[in-house]
Amino acid sequence: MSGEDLLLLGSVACSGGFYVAAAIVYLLRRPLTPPDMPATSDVGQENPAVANLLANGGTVTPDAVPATLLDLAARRVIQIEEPEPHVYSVRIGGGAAPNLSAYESSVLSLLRTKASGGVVPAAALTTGATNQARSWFRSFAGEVVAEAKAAGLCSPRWPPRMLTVLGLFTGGALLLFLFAANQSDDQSIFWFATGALAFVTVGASSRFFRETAQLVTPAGLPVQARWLALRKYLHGDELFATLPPTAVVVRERYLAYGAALGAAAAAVRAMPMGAENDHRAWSSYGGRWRQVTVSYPTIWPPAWGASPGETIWRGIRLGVPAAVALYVFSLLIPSLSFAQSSEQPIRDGSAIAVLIAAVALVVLATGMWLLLAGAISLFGGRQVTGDAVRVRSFGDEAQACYIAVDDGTRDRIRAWKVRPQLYGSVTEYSTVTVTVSPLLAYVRSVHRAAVPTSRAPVPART
Amino acid sequence: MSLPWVIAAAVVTLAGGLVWIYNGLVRRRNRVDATWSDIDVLLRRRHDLVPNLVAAVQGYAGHESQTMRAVAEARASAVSAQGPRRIGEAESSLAGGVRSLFADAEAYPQLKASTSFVQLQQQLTSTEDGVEHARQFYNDAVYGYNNAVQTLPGSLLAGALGFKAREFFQAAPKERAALDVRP
Repeated sequence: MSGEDLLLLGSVACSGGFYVAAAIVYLLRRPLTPPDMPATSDVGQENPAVANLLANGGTVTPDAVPATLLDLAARRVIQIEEPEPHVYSVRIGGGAAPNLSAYESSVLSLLRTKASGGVVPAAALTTGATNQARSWFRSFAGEVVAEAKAAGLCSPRWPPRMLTVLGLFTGGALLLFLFAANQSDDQSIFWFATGALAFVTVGASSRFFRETAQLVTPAGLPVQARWLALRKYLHGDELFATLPPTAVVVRERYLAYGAALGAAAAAVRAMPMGAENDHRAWSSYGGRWRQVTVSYPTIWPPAWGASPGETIWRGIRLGVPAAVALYVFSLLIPSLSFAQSSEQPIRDGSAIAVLIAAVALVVLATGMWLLLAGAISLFGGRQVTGDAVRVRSFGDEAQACYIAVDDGTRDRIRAWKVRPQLYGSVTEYSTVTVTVSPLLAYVRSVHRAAVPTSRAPVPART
Repeated sequence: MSLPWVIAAAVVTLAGGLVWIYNGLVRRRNRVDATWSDIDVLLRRRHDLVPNLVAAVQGYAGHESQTMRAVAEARASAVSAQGPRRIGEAESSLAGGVRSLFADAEAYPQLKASTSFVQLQQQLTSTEDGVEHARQFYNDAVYGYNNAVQTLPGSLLAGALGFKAREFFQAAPKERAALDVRP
């Protein structure tokens, strides 16, 4: 047996070891079944987010966030108001909140960053753009898990020590295969199979390393059973699922626990604390809270956000060949013919020439517009002050960066495309002054405005 | 499809529908009973705590006052009351009496400082909160049950099968005022 074969065999053995070890851990650390308890209205000492973790078999679900918000309201740290029918807002108290856990503080901080005059409309409670929201939720869930772990209620389904062993097997399988590949001159079926197995093992291991589910400990099982019994109880209440978030005043922590246990659908739906919508934003700039629609132009209008110089050059590159093509077409006009008496090749050639001329005309018009827009943009410009309601980048390497600024004058906003260096200087919901050219909307500069000029007034407290 | 099959299908559908309605009514009635039993447990607990409270206040006052006699009578009425409405009224009187008793206790600083008295206050407070929450769940259950009994198609069967609308357990006006028994 050659050295290469030995390396391949070693790789297969490591892959095999990985699967055997994973299967053993999977079998030994299967979730335990909690004892069955009859439906009860008794609540325990744990916070709603921890109840959510336990009732969902060791995983924190997004419902834990609005449940925490409702819990803060039940404990009078914040207030939920209904300024208009079915429109809710959250009012944050000015004083320091006592005895808050890390994740409750995160929710409160989030509210404070969104608040204007101490009030946040429920629809503006989102936790940021998709990636940002995911990362915020990961951190929130981590803090919930830490609290549950500290109370001895759960432990990681895949312990770190076991993950190290799995990582060693994975690394071994991949490295041995790569060494073998380095030595081999010809590739057999065994070589391909070993390589495939090693890469599949790497893929499978990444799934384990991403795994955040917790295993409810034997000490946590009775607690889990109690929360499941409360869930059963709350699900049996027909009205509970229809209660609005303001019902927290009379239902107190029950509504928060209901939200955590998936039994308070209406209250959770009214408090959307997930990823925020790229195309809809709440803005208080201009004196009142309102929703604005944001678009991110890509193809139309042409050269949106491009610099005037670049646009002029683009206009020349498009316009000159198009003009040449049209000039050639004008020379050919006498020889074109569509008459039935003409030969077929002449008729076909004439049709193609007309088609090319039509395209050239459109290209020329675009080029002319770019030239004109570029020239006008070289000199003109205006300053706009408002809130950066959306700050977004699209593409793998943030090829397209946009800032949508609401100056309080319109409800539909076209986001401006900006250079990455300007993009990095703006944070969402900061008040900025942007110097922007006409037609192309080329952003020359972005500065933080010194003083927010106009904000939604604080509604009278009743 | 022939006529016998159509009739058979209609009979099976009707029978299935009746079973579904009946089961729904029974499920809702059981829910009402279960939520009422939660209230019952809490009220019994309150009834058990009240004599201790009276005894504690009497121990410091040295005599039985008018308030203590009123509380004892209110407790006796609450224990013997039947039906959510009557019980609600009796419990309101009892809650009012307890409130007066706590007001009387203000005159005895040593009593207020007593650990057992503070514990009694806390127990009564948590019981009061529990009754309030249990009342909400009970009323939710009654709301669903009464709707099922009084609206179609449940109303077609309810009367014949002995399902009657239930009473809500409402706080009487006196009880609606905040009962502050916190130390």
